[in-house]
Amino acid sequence: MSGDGARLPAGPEDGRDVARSGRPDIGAFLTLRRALVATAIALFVALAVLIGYFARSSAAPGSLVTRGGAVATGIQPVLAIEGPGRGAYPRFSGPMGVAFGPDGRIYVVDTGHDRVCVFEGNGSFLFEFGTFGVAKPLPGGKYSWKPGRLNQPVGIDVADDGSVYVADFRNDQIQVFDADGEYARVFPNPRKRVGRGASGQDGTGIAVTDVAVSGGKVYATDTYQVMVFDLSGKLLLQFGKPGTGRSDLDHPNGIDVDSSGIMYVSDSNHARVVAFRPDGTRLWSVGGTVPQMGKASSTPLALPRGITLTSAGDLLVADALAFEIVEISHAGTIGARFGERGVGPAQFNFPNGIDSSGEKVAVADKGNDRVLVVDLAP
Amino acid sequence: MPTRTTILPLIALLIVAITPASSFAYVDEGLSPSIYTQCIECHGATGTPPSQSNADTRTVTGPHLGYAATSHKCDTCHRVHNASGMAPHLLPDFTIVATCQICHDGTGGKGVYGVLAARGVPANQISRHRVEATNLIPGGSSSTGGTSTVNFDPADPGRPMICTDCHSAHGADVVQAFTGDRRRVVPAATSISYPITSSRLLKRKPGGFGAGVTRYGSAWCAACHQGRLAARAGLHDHQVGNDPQGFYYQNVIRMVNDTSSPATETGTIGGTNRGYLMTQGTKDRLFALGSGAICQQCHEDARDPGTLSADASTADPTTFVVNSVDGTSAADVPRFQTFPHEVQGKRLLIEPATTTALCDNCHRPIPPWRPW
Repeated sequence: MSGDGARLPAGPEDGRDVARSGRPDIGAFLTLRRALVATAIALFVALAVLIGYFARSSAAPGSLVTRGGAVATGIQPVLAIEGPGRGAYPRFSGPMGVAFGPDGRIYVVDTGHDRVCVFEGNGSFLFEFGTFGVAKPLPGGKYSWKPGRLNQPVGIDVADDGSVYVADFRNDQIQVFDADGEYARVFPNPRKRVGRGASGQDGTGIAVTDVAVSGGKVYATDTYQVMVFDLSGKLLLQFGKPGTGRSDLDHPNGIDVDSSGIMYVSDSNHARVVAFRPDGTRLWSVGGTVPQMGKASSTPLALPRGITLTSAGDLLVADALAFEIVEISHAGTIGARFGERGVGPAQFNFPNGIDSSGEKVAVADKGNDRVLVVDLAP
Repeated sequence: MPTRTTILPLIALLIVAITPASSFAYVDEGLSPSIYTQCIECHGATGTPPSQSNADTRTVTGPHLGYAATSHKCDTCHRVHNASGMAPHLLPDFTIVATCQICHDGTGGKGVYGVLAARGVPANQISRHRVEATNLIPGGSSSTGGTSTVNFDPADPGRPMICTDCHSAHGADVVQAFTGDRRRVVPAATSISYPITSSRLLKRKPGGFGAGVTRYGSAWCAACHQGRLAARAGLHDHQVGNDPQGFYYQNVIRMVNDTSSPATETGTIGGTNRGYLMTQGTKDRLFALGSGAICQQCHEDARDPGTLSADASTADPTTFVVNSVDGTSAADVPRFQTFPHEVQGKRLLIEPATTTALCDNCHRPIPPWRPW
């Protein structure tokens, strides 16, 4: 091979020849080689990033969805939904409630943004509804509630007909929407006393912390009570009071109901789950009051919040301070525990809400600002 | 052609990039019970109260207080491995304030911050201790009484105030437990008697300043607001007392009982009608009664401060009435125990200072017959 110093090397083989020849254009040649390699690497990286991006997002355009992940502590991650991926708030802010619709849709209470976001079962974002509105302003405050507006919604359930029930916590009421997010009705009247009274501001309405719909009835937890309504909002049953008795409640934050009308309540600040018969009498409880400070804690539950019945009839409880999903049999026996603290696909950070549909379990992973959909495999 | 050494890293990079869970690339192994024992070996069981008399008599303290080798409480807020990327102290959220607000979001009580906004109160009508916003302290200068700039953390000069400047999440070195001026739920069938007391996890040295106070009162506030205490040379402030003189939260003029009796006494606040009462008259009378004005008499939740007779022996029994829990009754005063986090009104005052009402609580109105 012959040529002058200005001639570009044809390739590595030529380069080695040039190097061995000791010609004066070695430096330029090496610089060019490095540039070619760097360019190749840059192209590969760009290609890889693009492929990775589309692999993650193509199935759910617009949504912030991560799929799959490593199995850990009995959990097989399916989806991690971090928000709609569009609009004014593309990401969730402290979601506290989640529910499956009868068609497999996933309804997420995005508490920090006073809205409900709806996704297909595969995580594709569909639509959202709700915005901030104050129904019970203080003197000097501004009334801004309109039908459908929410004020720190914390709980949600979807009826068999697709109706969506939202625990509108700060507005002391339950709002009902159709499956497409259209406002339907509200109850109880947040400005009227409910039954014997409740914990809403001014003693009216109910400071509802969770809601469940079953058998034509709506069940709600208040600061110290459970209240049962018919679908029109008529109060049917009211029970519970503060205290440390076996049937007393202290800030319950979760409720679900089985087909026989037995109510399962996460009695959060008593660190227990209590089952009540349809008439409100206690059936069983598991867990117990957290001992006073300085004494060892041996309670099986730390801060149970969301609760859901599985298709097998057992319970799953989101334990916010244990960072676990705890399985409890329908008879009140603690079973398997799933998850651990963290930001991984099978880890939780103050899990708050939970719902199940078939083999899938959705968890409102509040501290990680996401909803996890997982399969549990004890 | 690229060499093998060039291609292999690129393939590896490609695989990593297209793996769906690439952001979840680690697994937390969790902590074994023995680890908690090891936590205490170095960090100590800091939640142990200094004495039984200081004990927080509430039964539920969540992750605060009560650390033992078997309590597993450390793990609630700290993680040895795999804490959030930028979290200080191995906390689960990115800042200390954000970590606190994970739990203190309003559902457990009526909230700390955000309560008033959720009730439609415009932002310009809310005053608050602004966390993560400023390190300026109004009245912080003991020499001028003006605003001072402070370093809450010597290792992080200029850091704004955060929750842990006033509260000890571990319950370490906190003030004596005291009653709040709102009715709290008394668990039935327990030995706990009303009023329920709590330290509120308030540090004895808020902000790390001062020599440390044992009781919540004016001296506690003055650790930061040094220029607001009386008896500062060259300053003309209101005669708020400090702790050694007996001016603290648990030694105030209050109604004798919870009924409609107008009689007054000095003692702890609490109960259904035992808020501290505003004091008309001279400071000598206050000293004689053993209770002087404290910061919280003017700066607190919006409330009716009551009215004392001239000799402070009787008062209007209808002023401070708290019959419901958690501020749920509009008739209760005060309604929300959000002070000093946020208060509806200017300068954290119990009543608007734009009228004479606030001043008249202590200063007798000028008689109408006065010529001027």
